[in-house]
Amino acid sequence: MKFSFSWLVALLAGLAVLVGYFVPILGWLQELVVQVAVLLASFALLAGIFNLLGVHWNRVDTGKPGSGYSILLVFSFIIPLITAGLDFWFSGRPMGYWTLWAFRYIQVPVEASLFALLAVTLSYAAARMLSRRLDIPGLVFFVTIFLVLLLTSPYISVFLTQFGLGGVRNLFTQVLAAGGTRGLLLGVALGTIATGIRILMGVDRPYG
Amino acid sequence: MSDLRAGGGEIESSGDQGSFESGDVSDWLSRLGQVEESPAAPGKAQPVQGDALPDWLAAPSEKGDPNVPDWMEELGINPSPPAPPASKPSPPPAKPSQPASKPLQSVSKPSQPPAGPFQPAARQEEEDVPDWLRSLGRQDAPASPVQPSSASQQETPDWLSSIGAGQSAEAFPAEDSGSLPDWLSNLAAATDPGPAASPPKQPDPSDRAGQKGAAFQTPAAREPALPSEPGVPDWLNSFKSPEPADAPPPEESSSGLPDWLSNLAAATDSGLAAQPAKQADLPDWFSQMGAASTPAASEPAQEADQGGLDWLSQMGAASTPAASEPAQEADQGGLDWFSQMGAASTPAAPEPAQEADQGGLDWLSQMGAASTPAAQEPAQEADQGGLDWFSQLGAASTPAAQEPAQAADQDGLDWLSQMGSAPTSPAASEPVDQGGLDWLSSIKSTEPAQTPPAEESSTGLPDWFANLASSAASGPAAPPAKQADLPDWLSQMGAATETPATQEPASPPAQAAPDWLSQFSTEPAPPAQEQSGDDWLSQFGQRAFGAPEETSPAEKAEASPPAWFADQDGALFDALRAGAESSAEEKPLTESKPAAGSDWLSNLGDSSSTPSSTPAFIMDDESANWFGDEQSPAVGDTGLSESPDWLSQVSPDQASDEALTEGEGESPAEALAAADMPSWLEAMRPVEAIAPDAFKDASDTHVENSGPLSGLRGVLRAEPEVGRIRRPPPLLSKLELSAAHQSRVESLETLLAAEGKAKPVAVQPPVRPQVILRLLIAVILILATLWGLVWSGAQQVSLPDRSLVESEMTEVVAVRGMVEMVSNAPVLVSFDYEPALSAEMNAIGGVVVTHLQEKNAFLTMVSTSPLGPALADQMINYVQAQRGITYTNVTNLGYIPGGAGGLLSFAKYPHQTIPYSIDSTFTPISPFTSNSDKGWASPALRAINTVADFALVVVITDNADTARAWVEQVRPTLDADTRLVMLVSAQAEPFVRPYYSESIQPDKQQVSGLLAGILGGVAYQSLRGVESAPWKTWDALAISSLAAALMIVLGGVFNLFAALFARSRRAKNGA
Repeated sequence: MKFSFSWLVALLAGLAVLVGYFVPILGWLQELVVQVAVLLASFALLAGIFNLLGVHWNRVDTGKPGSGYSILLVFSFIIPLITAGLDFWFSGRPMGYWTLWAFRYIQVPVEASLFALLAVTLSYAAARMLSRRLDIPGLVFFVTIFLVLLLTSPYISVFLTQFGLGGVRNLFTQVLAAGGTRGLLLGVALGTIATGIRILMGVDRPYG
Repeated sequence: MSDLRAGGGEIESSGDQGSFESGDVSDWLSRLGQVEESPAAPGKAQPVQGDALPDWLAAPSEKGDPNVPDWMEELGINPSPPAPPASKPSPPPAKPSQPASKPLQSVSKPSQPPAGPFQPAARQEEEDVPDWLRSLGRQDAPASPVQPSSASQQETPDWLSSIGAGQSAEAFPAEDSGSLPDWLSNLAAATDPGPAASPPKQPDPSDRAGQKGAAFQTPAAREPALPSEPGVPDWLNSFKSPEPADAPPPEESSSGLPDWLSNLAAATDSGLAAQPAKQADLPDWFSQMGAASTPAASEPAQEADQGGLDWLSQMGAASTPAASEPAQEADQGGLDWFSQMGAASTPAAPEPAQEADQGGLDWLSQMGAASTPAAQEPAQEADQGGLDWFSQLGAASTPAAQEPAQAADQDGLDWLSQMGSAPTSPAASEPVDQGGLDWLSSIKSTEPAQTPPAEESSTGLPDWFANLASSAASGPAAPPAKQADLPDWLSQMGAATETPATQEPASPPAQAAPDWLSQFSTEPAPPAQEQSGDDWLSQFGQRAFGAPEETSPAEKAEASPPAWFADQDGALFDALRAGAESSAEEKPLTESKPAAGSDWLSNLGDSSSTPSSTPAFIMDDESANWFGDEQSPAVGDTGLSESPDWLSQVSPDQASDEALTEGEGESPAEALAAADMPSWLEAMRPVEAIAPDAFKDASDTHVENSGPLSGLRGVLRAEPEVGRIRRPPPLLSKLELSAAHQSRVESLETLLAAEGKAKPVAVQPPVRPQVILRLLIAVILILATLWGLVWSGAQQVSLPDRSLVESEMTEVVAVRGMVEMVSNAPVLVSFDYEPALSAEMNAIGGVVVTHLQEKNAFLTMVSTSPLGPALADQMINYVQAQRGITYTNVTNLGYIPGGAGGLLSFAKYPHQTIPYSIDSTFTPISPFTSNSDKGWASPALRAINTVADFALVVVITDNADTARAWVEQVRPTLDADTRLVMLVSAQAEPFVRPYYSESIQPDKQQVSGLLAGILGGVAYQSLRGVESAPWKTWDALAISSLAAALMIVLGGVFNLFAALFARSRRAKNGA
């Protein structure tokens, strides 16, 4: 195992947080490390924002292909700053009227529209699935989609509920899906433990 | 020669020379031997005058030194040291300070006083080592203190004598160099000044060879000079181990081996306590070879004089128990090391009295014995002085047992004579004095010769040659005593020809030639045929000295030069013969006296001295036996043979007795006359001269009429077609193309034309069905939503029944109960949802916020999302708008950074986490309003230190992770009086519902109440029973969700059948 300073820092930080769970007396150490981590994460967010702005500004400056999109990104970055400045100047809050206006009428509709396309795309993919993969798993997947979507529909659920078949939807969403999700969560938990141990041991060094 | 000098420089000189009879040496060699006799060298043999020298040898004598040829004089070799006396009366004592190894002296040092030991007289008879070997051995052989020398000195050619005389003219007595060729003697003399006459000479540091010689110097070599063996060059004797000063002189160290060979033998015997013979200065490596398998004590009577080359003998002895050779007296002077190589495969026990005097080169004779059981050679005493190895080669094809009394003293070059005698007869097993070359005799001895025990085969051939011959001719029957010393390679040679001889013991094959030659013959030689493959050697003797009619000892003593030598000049051989005769007169050759080193020449005469009185020299039969029947007689008959005569005459008929007889009758002059034109030259004659009409083309009648070939017929004409003038063929102006070519051209043109045309792109319909379906779905959903929100006047879809909600939706009932308990209490409301879901969340949260305001709860709004504070204000404004009032018990603390950590921090330390509210933070700065009662400064929040101090915590979120973070980070900090209520969207319901359980006590529940989706809000509204405006959202939700479900079903079914139809169509098309 190659010794490195970054590994030493990661080891000490991890041990400090872990010890804080089992030894309440050393909670202060856990607090210290977590506060430092939050602070670094905040600066990391800022660093990421400025890095992204610099990259696209460089692309605009050099006139590389696709620089128009970079101009749009820079412009989108500048507009919230202006609105926030105006809100702060006039209302004393960085998130005032203009900022919420832009958020409500620009950002939310854009993201909602993109998410709505997902519904169309998923529907089309489900319809084309049988032409691309005509086998048992494909058929099972296709039937499952159809039933969940159909049972989710308020019309169908209400109809079934009226006939005492409301539990059919719960069978899919709370039994089958929940069972699979529990398994996934257990796997995630075990994976998290293993990853934490590996990081503490220096086997995995995602920090470089 | 330089190699020999170098080698000699490494070896001590030795005066041990094998004594030999001068009569064994051809005249020309005897004369050569006289040249190198130093004055200090005693010897009994009188130097032979140079009148018998050939012209090419005699010519130098006219100029200065009669014994030195011109080429040697030109080389700077001075073979004319002061002629040594015939004998040295008082040999100088051994030089104790004489370095054993002397640096190689320059060959051009003839003035070096001869010094060295003298051979005993008894040894002088056995000096069979060729002069060239003897002179080599003289360089390094240790000087023997007492070696009265009486050996003849004529056997060393001048060119050898000149080498040896350069340094050790005094050190080597006449008899020492007499048996060696002059060039060897001179070599020895040049490199060894002699221990007796010359002062101790320090090795020349600059002399590389001398240093090397010093390096190889054995301790024994530094001792007083040992009596060297006759016939062994000093440099061979130097290999011998030092002989004790008081050791009696070896009685039978009379081999004609070179000293270097003798020393080798003695070196191997040095460690033998019971061996009285002198010990050679063998190199350790070689002596160990012999000693490895030959226990010394087990050879009590072995008296083989293995001067110089005993190392080879002991190689043979590696597999030979010495004890089984009680009376082996093979005098293997010098080169008997080679003979013992042959003994490696020979059981030596059955050789009781082998006394082959193999002076010098008899190591080769024992090579022939490698394939011959030594037990069948009881008393072979071949005195093979010097080169008798060659004589044994002749003996390879001669059954030795058939010549019991042959005692040709063929010292030196008798190996050549034995080659001649190989086919002659079974008499090869006679006691032959094979001075030095008896290794050839041993080859002969491999024949199934029934050799009498005391047979002495003094064939004069070298041993290796004799053995070679014997190996070819002998069978498993009783070969002569000297059989076992041939090495394997020579034994195999002998064995190759051994079979026919075995099958015909009474008619030994006439192929005494080496096996490689004898194998050419497909038939064995006639029984009485005496001319074998080495007839050229015998004929050499005949030509030089006249073919003897009968074999006599004296005739055997005549050394016959090789045929090639005889062919050169008849006068030369006449002179040589005269010298040989004079030598024979001086010493009777009937005795089995080993000739000195050059007896290979003297034995040439013996090659014809077979009992069958077969003439030894027949011009036309030179190569008859060499190639046997390989050559077709028809070739010779037609005269078209391109091979020389010596090949063309190879045929059995030419090897017949008749040819031999004819050869006998011819005088040398006639023989010379018959060989006027060399065969090789005759073979070069044009074919037309033999068959002028053989290659003529009868159909060609053209006769050349111009040019230098004018008048000739059959000449290739130069311009049969060139001179003609023709009209050039008309060139086709039209290309003829076949149908296939036309089709290919058209294809190519089509491709080229299509290459420039643009490929039509399939036109897509502007509106595809999928797009239509997509638009159709969107339109239907939009219309359904608008119809529910806009165009529906009254509530289209009735709200859920209260009783049904109370019975079916307990979580809603729990929420309502908790909101009812928070009157005038601070309630923490978290707005953690996105603006995209604000419509749903406002429908859910609005009923609860309205209920809270109705309870006059102090709403403290926070958010873990940056847009949360704006959504909170929007919610408050929405509720105020719904109620138509302005609710002031509200404070917006703003954003909680840090995610889950921030929640933890806020749960425990709210003031530290969010110290300022949006409404009150900048109040002092704001010039227009005063919000001092807002934020943490408001009266409702002044008692709040932790989240647990709030009366109720309401989380409005559309994210399951955010809900989980609140449950995990904040819920543990809450006490039993503070409950956590979740208002989530429909999509987050499955993830939040697990935290709710109605079966658990409320204070222990993680989530005490849950409202999920619009349905939850409607149920909460229905539960409260409060009259309100119609829920347009509820109608829009009902219609749009139903429409979406229908569209999904219809679209799915449509696409399903479309897919099935497409599959069936593809299946049909594919079929």
